[in-house]
Amino acid sequence: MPASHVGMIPATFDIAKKHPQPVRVSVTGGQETEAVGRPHIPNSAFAQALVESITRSQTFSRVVEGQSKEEDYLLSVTLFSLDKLVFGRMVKLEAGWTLRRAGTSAIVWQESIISEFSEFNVQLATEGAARNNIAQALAKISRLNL
Amino acid sequence: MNRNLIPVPLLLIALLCTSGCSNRATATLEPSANLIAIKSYYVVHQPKDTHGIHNLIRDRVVKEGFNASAGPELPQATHKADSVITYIDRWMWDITLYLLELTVTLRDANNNFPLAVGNSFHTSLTRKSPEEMVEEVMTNIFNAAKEAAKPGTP
Repeated sequence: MPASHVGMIPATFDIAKKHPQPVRVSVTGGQETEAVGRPHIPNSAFAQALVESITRSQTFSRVVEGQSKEEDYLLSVTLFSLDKLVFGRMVKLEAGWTLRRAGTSAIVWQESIISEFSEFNVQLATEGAARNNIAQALAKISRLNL
Repeated sequence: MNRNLIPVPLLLIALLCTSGCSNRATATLEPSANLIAIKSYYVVHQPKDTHGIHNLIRDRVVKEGFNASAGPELPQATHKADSVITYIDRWMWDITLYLLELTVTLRDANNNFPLAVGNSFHTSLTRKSPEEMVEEVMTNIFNAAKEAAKPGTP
């Protein structure tokens, strides 16, 4: 079963400051169906979890969606690899995070975040790894001087 | 004939399908990554790798026309290359040892940020030699990079 967006939303956030600017998010690299070596996380589910996480934590003032060009920043995430132990319980996820200024596309922050989670159920472990990845990323973004 | 018995040929087919006759080969690029601009690579030897996979990857990169070297892990930004390549090789035993899965990641040498990942997975019945697995993974990555660099590609 693919990871659900609800399971990927952190319960708590470590936010240093709330950026007053709006942001647009995009997610690539995920997978709708299970494929070995690819995160079994649909792009849409991770994006939905990220939007909800940004909204709850107020890391940015709001998330811009649709055709409007009101965003000041672009936050893109590429889900690169999901490492699942064949007979184990740990899932490891690496995601590449990039924050750019909307007008110039200049990169203001870029980092690869590796997270892991242990759970007997692979779907829950995957959601946990994604949840930790989102939590770490938003904590780091909240500490930027934008 | 006892109708409760599963016909042997069907059982054999079921066993073949469930014993792992599956394979996958994928490549993912970071959307803004421009692999065409990368001219030199350094392949980091995975300490537990005793099969020389790092040398196979290096040779495949050279075959593609780029400069490449291989060796132990070095401090960040000291590789004297545009990109650093890391890999994870997983081996399985089935009468003989074979390479079950190979994941190769191309990273920005300055900040270790992943630019592309390729993966090849072959179970026992569809096993490939390490050379063939490396060829499959790297070809997929380079082809994806060429496709992304085409004008008009979003």
